[in-house]
Amino acid sequence: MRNIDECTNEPVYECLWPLGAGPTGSFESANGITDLSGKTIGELWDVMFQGDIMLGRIREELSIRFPGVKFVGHEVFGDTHGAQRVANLARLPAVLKELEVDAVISCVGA
Amino acid sequence: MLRASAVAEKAGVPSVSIVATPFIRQAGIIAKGLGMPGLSIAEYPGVPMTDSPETVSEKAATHLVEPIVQGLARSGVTDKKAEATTVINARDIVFRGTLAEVQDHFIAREWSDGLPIIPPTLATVLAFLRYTDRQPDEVLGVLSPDNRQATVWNVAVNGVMAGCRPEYMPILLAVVDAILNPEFRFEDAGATPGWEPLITLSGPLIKQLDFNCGAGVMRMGRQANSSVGRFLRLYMRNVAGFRILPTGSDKGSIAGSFHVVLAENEAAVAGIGWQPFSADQGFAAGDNVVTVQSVVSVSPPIYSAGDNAESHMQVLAEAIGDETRLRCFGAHAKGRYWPLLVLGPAVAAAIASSGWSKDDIRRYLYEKLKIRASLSERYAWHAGITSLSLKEQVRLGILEPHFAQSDDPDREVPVMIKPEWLGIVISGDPGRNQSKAYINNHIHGQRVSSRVQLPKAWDELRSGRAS
Repeated sequence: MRNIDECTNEPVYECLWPLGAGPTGSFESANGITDLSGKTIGELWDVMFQGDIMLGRIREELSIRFPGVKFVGHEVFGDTHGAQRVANLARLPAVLKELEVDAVISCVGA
Repeated sequence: MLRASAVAEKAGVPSVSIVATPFIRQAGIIAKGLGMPGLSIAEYPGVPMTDSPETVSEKAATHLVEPIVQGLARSGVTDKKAEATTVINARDIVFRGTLAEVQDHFIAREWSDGLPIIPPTLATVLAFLRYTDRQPDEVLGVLSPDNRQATVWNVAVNGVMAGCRPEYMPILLAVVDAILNPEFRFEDAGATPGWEPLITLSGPLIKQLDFNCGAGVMRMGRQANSSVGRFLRLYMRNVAGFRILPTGSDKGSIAGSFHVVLAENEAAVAGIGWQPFSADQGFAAGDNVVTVQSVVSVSPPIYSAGDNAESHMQVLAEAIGDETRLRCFGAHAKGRYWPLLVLGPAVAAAIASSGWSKDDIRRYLYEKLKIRASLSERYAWHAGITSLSLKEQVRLGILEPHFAQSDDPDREVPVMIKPEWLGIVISGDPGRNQSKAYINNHIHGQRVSSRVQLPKAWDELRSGRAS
């Protein structure tokens, strides 16, 4: 049996870090486009949250503001969230290049 | 959708992502993990699925167009990773204190699940590392959304914290190996359905390490089942970053808590002449194997009686059908579905006594579990999959042709995608005629397995003879 004074000498624990190293390196974002006139915009959609309605209205509004702006519909790129996400994202750079897409709008969610 | 934007940006194409208000924080964390915290976002105010189509259109015009124009005009920005790279070495002592102080510190740092943890000291971690031949600094992979490295070392640290015993270490490593399989789609574990991974254990380790595979198998109470289950949720928080809001990125709307490990009663399986779950997963019977899949809902306890297969299967089909119909739209949308049926040993024996195999069960349930096509599409719309058409899914090759055999919206289609994707595990009370179904979240958390690698000195370590 220990006496009460000994019992108050609580051990001190030296604890290690439970996380892991985070990402390293950096990625440069693409250069922006200040005037969308005559440019081609790709529409990416995850087939969620009424995104087709959003994209349709955005297309209308941008067409009014920027003469000659063109759009490549989401069906060309495929679902960016579902069963074919990995395959669709893998081929995305090639499709963007082939169709000479200048910018993309991606929706909806995180 | 940030992931799609990041792909475009890396290809030299500027992007803007449309994100609804409730997802803004999650988007920021994902963008940071992708190494592109400066990705342009246009915020949709509110919840799209409680807005009418007219309101969605109006909000798109008034709230999204200008941010899109501004976002696409943004000049190239180099994202500095310095803020994401915290200079802490794995062996650094990050806190010294009494047990109570350790708890407070770990909770304040969000390194705990809210329950007390075992302090991860060097001595306790080294004890775990004795149970693997892998190098402590081996990087097993990277886990999203935080994109932190999963290592042998931090598996041990989190295993200590969860209350595991050192000899569980080979199982913990196999679990992490499994969730790193790209097929598992671990990065989607923060989705709103709030799915939770379920670990199933097969092999002699069940008995050697005292896992429960009998009555109350899914109840907290046995150290092995409970602590290994807790480990995975802790690991998801600490290494992947799936912490609940407001500080984390876990968007499970109501969600649930971790599952304890489901261990199969392999003696019962052998007794009725079936092969164990591990063999169904492509391993040899008797291999130590962990299998992980998502679980988004659990059926009520299903009681079925009788001395023949038909008597049990009829009830099982009715009960599982009720459990699966409301959520099978996700399976139809994504083309993947991995429900898991846990049969009580007595139920399995009664079914087997009629000469039925596991494949007979799978075929029966595949044929019996049906839903009207229109109902699946309607449930999908409510969940936010606003344009699901089973006919279109067939055209895309996601579903097989018999899902669109006619244009009748009320045609009956299978709930399941493929009969062989129904998992069957024998476990639970051998003295009762009860079963349960564990329903997975379609393509999120697809069923993956990993063999448990024991250290060369396993027998010596277990007998206490290792130096």
